[in-house]
Amino acid sequence: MTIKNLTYEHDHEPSSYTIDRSVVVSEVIDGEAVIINLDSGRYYSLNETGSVIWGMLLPQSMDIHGLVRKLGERYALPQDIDGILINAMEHWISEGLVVRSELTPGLPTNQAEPGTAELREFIPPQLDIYTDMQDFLLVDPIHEVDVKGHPTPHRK
Amino acid sequence: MSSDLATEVNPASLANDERKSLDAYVETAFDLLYRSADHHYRWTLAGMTWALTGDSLGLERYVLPSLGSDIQLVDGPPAPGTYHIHCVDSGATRHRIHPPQCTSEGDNETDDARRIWLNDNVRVAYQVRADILMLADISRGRALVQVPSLIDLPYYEQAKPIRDVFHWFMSGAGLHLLHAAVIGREDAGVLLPGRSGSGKSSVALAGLMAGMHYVGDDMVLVDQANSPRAYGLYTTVNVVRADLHHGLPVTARILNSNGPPSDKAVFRLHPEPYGFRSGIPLKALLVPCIGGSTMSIEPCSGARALSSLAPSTLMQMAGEREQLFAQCARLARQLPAFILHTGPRTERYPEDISYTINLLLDEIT
Repeated sequence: MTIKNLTYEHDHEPSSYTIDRSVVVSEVIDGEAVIINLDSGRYYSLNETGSVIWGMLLPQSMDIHGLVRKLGERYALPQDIDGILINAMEHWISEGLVVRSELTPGLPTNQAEPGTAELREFIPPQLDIYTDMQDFLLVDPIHEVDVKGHPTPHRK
Repeated sequence: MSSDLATEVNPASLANDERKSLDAYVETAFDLLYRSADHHYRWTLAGMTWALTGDSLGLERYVLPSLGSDIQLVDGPPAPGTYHIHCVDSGATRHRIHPPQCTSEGDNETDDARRIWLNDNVRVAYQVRADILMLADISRGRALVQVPSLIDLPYYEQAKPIRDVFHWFMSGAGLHLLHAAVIGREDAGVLLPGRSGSGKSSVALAGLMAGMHYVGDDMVLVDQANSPRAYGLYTTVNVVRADLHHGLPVTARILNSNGPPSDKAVFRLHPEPYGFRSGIPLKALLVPCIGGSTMSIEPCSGARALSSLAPSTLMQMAGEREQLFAQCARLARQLPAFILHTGPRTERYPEDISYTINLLLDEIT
């Protein structure tokens, strides 16, 4: 199955999503994502599908169409895939991991190439949240300064 | 500004309308507090030569013992090319500077907060509760540590003194302080990551008591320039007080004998164990997991090991966390990862730890 013939109807403003690198550090190791929000002190792991999506967002911002297209190359996607992804993005935004960004010209469209490999079952992305380091990280506010002078809150 | 001003000075207030840069703040702090030295304490670690100056009595009693026994008292000021840390006992000298003024929301942090300011070349960390201020001028290889009293340093600062300064300079040289224990043998060792209470200290101490090489139980220095190698930095070990009846190396000296039961007992090991300063090549990440019916080891993912290593390491260090996280991830990619189920604590626990870890090292090396 590919997404080629799927029709997407959106009731949301078109936007792309990008990792908030000002407060998030992350790595995907052997298909598993490890994510730390340096602001909140929370850290996270993602299931396989979530890690794949996170890996897609690491090099560039992507919109829902682009994510669906890329996911369709390896997964048999359910009909409500765009709703699932929008919900996931909203959750990640609420955790301060992802921010909305302007649509980037040249991003992949929803015109997927027909896949040849066997497609795997798509399990909705799941974010596991760990809060045991939260208190420690939060007592350690980081400030940066610029040439003009004294500390401002740590924001890039 | 007179450098012999016997009062509290706030360099950040000097500029009034025009707020001074952090570079200027640090420069002023050095002008105020730095004194030329007619002798210094010198040691070399992982190819980096360090010099400590300041109040000799306080340094000798409360700082140097946690850094090992290979520190030499040398006549004259530190030589060019050494990393120089000057410690100021503001209670004794009556010279004190305030941390940078902070007009951000960070002003509202609790007394437990540690505050950090940094730019490309300058690092400042202030521990509010302990009133300890650390400043570093990276390009000039010099740092200042101001404490209210070297004699009354909190035990946790005696256990891991000046770690922010070490972190700042060492990370620039490709060495990274990680929140982990390391034990093994001369040719191979395991890095045990984990937050406080995860079991890394008890496993490391058990290995030490069984005669294994020991690098550290809580914070170790890892050189990742080539194949990863861990070095000891602090001679201290942390022990849950309930475990004290299991015994300790007889030469250990407790730092906080009157501490509350909830605090771990902190000991200095003397002399340093085998492997402490010479280091051990790292061959695996071994995530301790207290409990289970028997002691056993099973493979785990690099992501699982990274989740055990990175959050608590980043929590321990002041600034440069993105770089530190990347190094943790690099280690998780380089080395195979395993989980150690410790099983019940028996009389043979140290021997079982040594046997199990040596068996693992035999298989992977």
